[in-house]
Amino acid sequence: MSAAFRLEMRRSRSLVLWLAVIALAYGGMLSVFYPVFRDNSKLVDQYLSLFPKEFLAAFGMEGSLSDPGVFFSTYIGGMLWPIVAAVAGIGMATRPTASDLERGFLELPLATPLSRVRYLASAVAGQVAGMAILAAATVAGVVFAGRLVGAPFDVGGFALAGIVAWAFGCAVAAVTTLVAVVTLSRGLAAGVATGTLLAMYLMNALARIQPDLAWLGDLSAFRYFQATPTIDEGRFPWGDFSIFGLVAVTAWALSLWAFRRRDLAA
Amino acid sequence: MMNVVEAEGLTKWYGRRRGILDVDFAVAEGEVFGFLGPNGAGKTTTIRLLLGFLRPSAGHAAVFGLDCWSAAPAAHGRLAYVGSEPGYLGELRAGEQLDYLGALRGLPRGAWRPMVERLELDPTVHIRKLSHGNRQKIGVVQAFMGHEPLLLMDEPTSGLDPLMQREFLALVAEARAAGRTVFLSSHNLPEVERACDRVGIIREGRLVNVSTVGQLLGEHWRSVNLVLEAPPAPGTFDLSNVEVVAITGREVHLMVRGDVNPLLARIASLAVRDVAITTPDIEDIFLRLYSAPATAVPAEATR
Repeated sequence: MSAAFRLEMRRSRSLVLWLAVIALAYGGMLSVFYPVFRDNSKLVDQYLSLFPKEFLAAFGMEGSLSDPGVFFSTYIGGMLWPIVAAVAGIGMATRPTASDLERGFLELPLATPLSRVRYLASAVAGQVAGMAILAAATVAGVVFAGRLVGAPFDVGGFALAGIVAWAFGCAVAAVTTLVAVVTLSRGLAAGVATGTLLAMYLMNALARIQPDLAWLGDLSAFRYFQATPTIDEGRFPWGDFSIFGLVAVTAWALSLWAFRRRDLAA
Repeated sequence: MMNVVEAEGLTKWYGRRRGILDVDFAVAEGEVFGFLGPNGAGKTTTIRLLLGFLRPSAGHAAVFGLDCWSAAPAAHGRLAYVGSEPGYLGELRAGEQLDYLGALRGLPRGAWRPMVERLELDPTVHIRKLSHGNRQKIGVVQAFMGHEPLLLMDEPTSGLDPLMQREFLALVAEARAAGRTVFLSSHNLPEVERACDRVGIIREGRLVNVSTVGQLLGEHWRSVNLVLEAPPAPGTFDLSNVEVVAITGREVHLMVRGDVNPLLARIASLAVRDVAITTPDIEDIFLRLYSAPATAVPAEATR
């Protein structure tokens, strides 16, 4: 394990640890509450029928919340995970380039025999590992708490959903890495990443509400992050996973290419 | 003797903003080369070009014959660098950051210990809790903890107290004695005067003078103040390299440039009550160069 990768993991430790604790606790708490929804499905459906369909669609509630796939897709896939992925992705993706350049640290490792490509590749490896830890913590929280309250979820389905969530997080981190390398501005990269995710979330909601704007959904990452069939049926969405994987690999490859060639000056 | 650092026509533009223009110089093996200039003159740009952080707009720079841009990692294997405001990771302890940077340079863990003890730096303290001067010490330790044959230093003593500045100069002298080459960018003139063999002066992005410290001092005027027993006869000081500034009765103020022996011979023929010869320090020369219009030094004079 290279010194650069070890340092990357060391620097990500606090961020990943606290986000993992949040994901674990939030996932566990939802698991604890899930039996209430499952055992009172009629009441819950009756309650939700009071809300406009557009409102429910905006929060990704498509189907009955007594269904574990819909329940966890709504509360974790549509709410918790995008936030966790954005915070972790932006933090880990902007730090080794734009942020370290702004604080004057970047020139120190890059004045050693470590090449720019190896330096950034170590940071990318740290992003991959960090996202995997967070996805695993989220799934673990749901599964273990579910066992405790007598809601034995299908571990396989949740594990597959966790893999798609990991790929989604990697795509967020990779695109943010690319923006950070191109702009060398932490604020700008974080703003672009956050704004793009928010815009995609709205585009996905609009596409669900307005059938004639359905094409907007195709442009949104959230359209390809639907965990319901994965959790319920254990069916791995190879197509969606491939899209996230392709975006991530392409953005990271472009980041390495650009970082190798650009001037490094704050 | 081989040239360790070479720059030929080195030019950098940041869009329309001037970085450096057509800079030529060479630093020989074992030499301590001072690079003088005020803020914004182009010192840091030059160092960043030598480190391969910036791609030259024109020209070429090489370290040990390796192109600074295309072969940067290979060149970095033979140099150590410290910046004027070295970055740090506040969440790390000083020793941890030094170990990290040492590992990237292939140094064993704790290679920094002798330097840390010499500079009286506590390696167990989190860097964010250290004063500016102590953070600067981390940069100096980092530069000197290895044995790379080239030291590239960009204003390394800013923030160091006078005792540590003296220690730094001792480290540079030891590096030179060990045959290492030092490129020292600074606007601390006495430091350059004491540490360097040759000095390059950069002004508004152009190298305006490269010479040995001795030449730089010798080529400039010295002030001579005499108090004579009697007023001198007219024409007493008519020499080609002497300028009479003022003669007030028995008090004479002269300026002499280059060889002082003819003037000393004239003075010896007079009855002198007191004499004072003042050598201009490098600061006077620096200011004189800065008050003249900027003209690039010819390339052949930079080697």
